[in-house]
Amino acid sequence: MAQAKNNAEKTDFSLTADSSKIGDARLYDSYFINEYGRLETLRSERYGSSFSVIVIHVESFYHGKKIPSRKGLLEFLKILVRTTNKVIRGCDITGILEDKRVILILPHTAYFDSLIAIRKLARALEFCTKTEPYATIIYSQATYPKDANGYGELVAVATRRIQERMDSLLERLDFRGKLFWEMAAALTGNELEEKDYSTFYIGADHDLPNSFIETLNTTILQEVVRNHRSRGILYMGIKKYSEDLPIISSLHSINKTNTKISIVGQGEDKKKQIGSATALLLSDNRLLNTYFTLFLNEDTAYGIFCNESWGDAHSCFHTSDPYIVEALIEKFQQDYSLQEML
Amino acid sequence: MGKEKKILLALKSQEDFTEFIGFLERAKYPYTMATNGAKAMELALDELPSLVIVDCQLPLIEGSHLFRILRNNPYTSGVPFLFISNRPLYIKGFNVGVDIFVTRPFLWEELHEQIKRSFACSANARKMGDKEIQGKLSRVPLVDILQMLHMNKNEGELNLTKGDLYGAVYVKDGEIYNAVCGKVEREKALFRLLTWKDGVFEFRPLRLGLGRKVKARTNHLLMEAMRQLDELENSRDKFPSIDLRIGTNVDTNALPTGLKPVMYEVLKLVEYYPRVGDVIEHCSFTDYEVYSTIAKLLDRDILKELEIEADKIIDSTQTVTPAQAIKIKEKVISNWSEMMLADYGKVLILSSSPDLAKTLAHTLKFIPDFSLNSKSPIVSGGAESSRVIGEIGSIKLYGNMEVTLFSTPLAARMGPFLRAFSTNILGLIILWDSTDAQLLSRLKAGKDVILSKRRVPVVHINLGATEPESQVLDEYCKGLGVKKEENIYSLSSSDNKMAFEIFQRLLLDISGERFVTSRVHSL
Repeated sequence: MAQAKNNAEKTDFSLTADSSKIGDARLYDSYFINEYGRLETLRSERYGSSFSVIVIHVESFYHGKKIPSRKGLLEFLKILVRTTNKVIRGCDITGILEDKRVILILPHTAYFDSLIAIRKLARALEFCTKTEPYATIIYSQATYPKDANGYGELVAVATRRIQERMDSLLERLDFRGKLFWEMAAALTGNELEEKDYSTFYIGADHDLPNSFIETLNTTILQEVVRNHRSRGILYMGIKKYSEDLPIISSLHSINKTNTKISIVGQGEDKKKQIGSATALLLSDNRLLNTYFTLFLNEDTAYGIFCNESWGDAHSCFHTSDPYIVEALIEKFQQDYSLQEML
Repeated sequence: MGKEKKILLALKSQEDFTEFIGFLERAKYPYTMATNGAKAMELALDELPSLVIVDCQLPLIEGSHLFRILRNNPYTSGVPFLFISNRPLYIKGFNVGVDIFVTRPFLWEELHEQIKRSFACSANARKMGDKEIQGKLSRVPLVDILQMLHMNKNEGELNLTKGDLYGAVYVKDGEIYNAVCGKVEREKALFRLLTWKDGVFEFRPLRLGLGRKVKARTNHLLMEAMRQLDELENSRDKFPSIDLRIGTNVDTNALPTGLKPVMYEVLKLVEYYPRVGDVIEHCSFTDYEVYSTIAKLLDRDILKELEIEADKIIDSTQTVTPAQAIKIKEKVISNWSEMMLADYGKVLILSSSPDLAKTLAHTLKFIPDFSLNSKSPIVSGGAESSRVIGEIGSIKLYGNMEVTLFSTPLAARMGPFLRAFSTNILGLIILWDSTDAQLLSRLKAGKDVILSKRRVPVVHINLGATEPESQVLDEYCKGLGVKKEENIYSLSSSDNKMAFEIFQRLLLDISGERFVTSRVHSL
């Protein structure tokens, strides 16, 4: 009897071929989604537009303690798909990629818009991660034609990024529930050195002088100006805001750019426009101890925190990992109740 | 009539070439041929065709991409296209009536009629279009046109063409808002345009969205322009020649206050550009003001004439050929997320000693089309110049396309920085003057990080007074893991000609025309 039940469970769970088991009319099987993806690629090529895919991967249940059983996963996917379909636009398509993976095709969606879609999805599905079955869900994306030239390649990129994201410090240090300053403290407080991130020191007798931060910010602004047509976002934490800072005069000379630039400094809560940039003055003393820069655009990501450790010496953390940079930007916007944007 | 119309054939297969050549020869149209998109672009930019016959499935650059590139270029925007494809396709920007789309198989007679119609339409568009006024500068001088636009309070763009040169004056409410002449703009550009005695002009009425860059009122501006042009013409014998090499006799960091702004700018520029012509080109002030300032400063011995050994003067006028420039642009395009955003690529510089990047920058300033970034702390030599990062200069290829030299720090644990800023990397220059073990390990770490992102041509330059001994060289090669295809050069800081040759070879490697297999220790 038990054997028969197991067999039934196995045969019942060929989701890739028959998505009707999920019971959602807007969920398509892998054949349909592949065909649709190919058509979307042709359409985007023809109209010179971009589209994105998002892969939702169910890694585990109960905070990583339990590998999802087939039956449990099926039940969970029903909730996940139902919630996902409520969040996405009418033109977006949901389908089954593999048993633990749901794929979304988002027509006319560029890189940054797909990141916003992931934020929305993560928020809508947050209840699954904080209540039963305490699921660990990983989101990844890929955009045509930025990441790949064909649909199959695009899905492969998005699938590869699931692993990249799981290997990222973001998941390894479990930053999901942490606040911006908690993340910053964790990053600058540890001795880290791996491919995309490392800690180092500036000032005093170290390799790099204090002025490194200022030069770095100027260099990033130069990149923004050179690359003014590329969409991006830049936050520069400069401790205390002052009109005399050289970076402010650099900002005045910047013409129109597609990068949203914000200067963050300690001060009375208010917003101020400096040319095409915005100065955000926040009444938070933690800003006085830390320089930070978070820069994300379609081609690159860079984030740096420099904590004053002793007089002129600063302990710094920097990264080129887009997942951490994006997460830090998101947390910063949430913690200071800023407009969520990318 | 047919003889005047040169047609560019950009086709994929030999069969198509045979058929089209037969057709064009029967119709007596002269033609040029390209077997891929890159070659077609090069030919179109080299000599403006009357029509481009293009296969949509062209190798390297597809037909539709080639169309977008050439249509966005003001020089080639008026060239009609004839697309050939096996199936109907949507082409963004397709101009019905001027451009033709044909699917195989096609009738040659019908095709001939369509080509003739396309020629007629594009000629009419050129004749009438949306231009309000057009004519020759030999008949109506520019100053008269500007006065007329001023009187009528017109708004729009006045385009001027003289041979290969292009200029524009932007007018709003009759006032001159800005002018562009080649790479320069504002008053300087306007005053240069006013010297054009021949060429053609056309005025397009349109709503201008740009800010006012020329502040003076048009009447005053034109009077001042005429005065300066007269003075320039009369004083030409008194002014220095554009090829004269000059240097400063004073410390430009300790200049007195109260001098004319043009003097400060000229003295600062002379530090970077020793040739009078280059100072005039890069200075924001008008040609007459710069000439007269240089002449005054020479008279007062604040500037001096430099004597440069004949063999150190770079006689070439271009660093890369148009074909190589196109190939470099293709490389940049392939590295970027969106083709239309691609207008620069980087050559990263890793240097073992702080001042090497600065020395290299000053050695490269003699290269044609190379501009030093005078705002860079590395170039201007501020207090912390030894430890800074950023762009130190750039070389213009064509259009808006540039290759920039970007200096990176050699501190420990800079991997993430190098990764983030090597997105559009084209090449890597490693500068060294010692074989200290710690420095070599840092250079090696930096090189590995950069090359892990993308494999690009690498050159190693020993910037020292003397050539390194073979033992030192071996130590360096071992420490850096120098590969067979990476060149090592020895360069003295005063050898501009050698610096030019090294840079030229690096650009050749980047363009992929000649991937070096032999190691050159010194040229």
